[in-house]
Amino acid sequence: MRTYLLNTLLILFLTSCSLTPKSSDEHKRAPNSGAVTVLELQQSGPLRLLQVLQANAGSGLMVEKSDIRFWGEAEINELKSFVDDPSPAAPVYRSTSGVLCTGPKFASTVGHEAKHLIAAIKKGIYPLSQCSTYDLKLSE
Amino acid sequence: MRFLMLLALVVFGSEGFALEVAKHGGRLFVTEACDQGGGVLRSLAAWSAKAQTGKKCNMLARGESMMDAKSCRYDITDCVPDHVVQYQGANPKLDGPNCWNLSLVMSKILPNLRYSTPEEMNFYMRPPLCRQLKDGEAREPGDVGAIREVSQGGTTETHGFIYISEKLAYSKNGMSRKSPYALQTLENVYDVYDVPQQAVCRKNEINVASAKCNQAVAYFRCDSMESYLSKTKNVPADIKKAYNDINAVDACMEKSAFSGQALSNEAQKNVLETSQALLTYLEKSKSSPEIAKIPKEEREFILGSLQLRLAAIADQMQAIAMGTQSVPTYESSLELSALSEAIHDASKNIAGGK
Repeated sequence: MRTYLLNTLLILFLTSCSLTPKSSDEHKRAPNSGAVTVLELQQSGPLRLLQVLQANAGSGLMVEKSDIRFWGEAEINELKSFVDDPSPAAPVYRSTSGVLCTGPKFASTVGHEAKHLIAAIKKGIYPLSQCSTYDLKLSE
Repeated sequence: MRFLMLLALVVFGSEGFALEVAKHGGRLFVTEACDQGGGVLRSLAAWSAKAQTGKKCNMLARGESMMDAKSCRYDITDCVPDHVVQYQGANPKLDGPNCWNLSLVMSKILPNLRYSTPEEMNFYMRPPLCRQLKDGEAREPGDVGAIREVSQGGTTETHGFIYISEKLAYSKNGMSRKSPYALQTLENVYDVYDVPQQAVCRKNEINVASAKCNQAVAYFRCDSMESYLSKTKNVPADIKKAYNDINAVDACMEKSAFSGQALSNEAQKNVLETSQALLTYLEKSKSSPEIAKIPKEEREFILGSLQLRLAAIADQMQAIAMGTQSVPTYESSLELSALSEAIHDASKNIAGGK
């Protein structure tokens, strides 16, 4: 648990502002850098986004609710090879998310985020839900 | 500049209904189309009366005609609940305070602004404090709207807001520090949270018919926690003390979230000690006649609410730790989270009651 904590906080001390990498550390995103925009998504592509999510494991990534119809079958095929990847990754959340989509409770994996991206590409909207790992089912 | 708008929010509904809320000079103004005839003012007046604010809305006030001669502006400072005057357009400095918490605070179920978990929202939207309105039953200002994701596996809390009228709502759209508290059109709330326009998705009840909606809204009418506790007898002194101590902790969370300052060591120590004391009491009380005297449903509600409050406070502490980059606060949040789980287990093991 201590390792997880230190990893999480290490991310917060690191700085980066863009999804576009210039060196290996720059996949990490600063906590005050705001939501990822549709333009950033379009420029980076889904695989680079997965790298960012992996680099930010322990945290969460805020993404503007975006029309992503510029991605299609080619991107889905690329993502398919990652759906079984159990490596830790950050979940994604919309700026309107009520849940605190970060930390151990909402931890994600590369595989889960790849599946979320595939489902999102099929529907043309990303993120598909308020928080990609929020899966609490409450019976009426 | 005297008339510089410090904060303004303009929200358009799907039928062209526009609303602008702005603060300047310490006063709060709402601007709507003059041909609406002060409809917003009437809705706010009804909300204020229902909330027993003691404030009087001047219904004879004529809207001040704006530059375009089509918009009328009303001073609503002395009309709306104090919470709106204080927080309209305001953002916390740290992530956490969210939509569910606003709904619970405005319903006088929780005392302070902080993160509320979806479990906490779902717990309170049931009896004894809240009841779901029946389909066709008239909604009233101050009712709580709960937008829920509907799937085959059940429902998931998506959003909570305060209903003012069929055109107006009071909401904080998200736990992000970038999301302000805001009066806005009801249509905007539905739009942000993807509630389809079909009537079946916007009824008072979510049921089998809502299955096609993905996101649907349900409405609830709630009683305050103070009112409930005043009617509840035989609450042991240790439980009452835990309530008061958690109220104090909640106040610390609000202060930190809105100032952006780290939690003091004293506050962290207090919340852990409060939780430990409650856990020790519950473990000792497994079969004590004192706690068994409380009817089972009341006991489950009281202990459930304490446990869920501590769990939500643990999450808020985590957000404070992230925002202030404090390792000790993060460690305390994990410790508190574990304690709240232990309290949950200990509550289940209590025997007796009817």
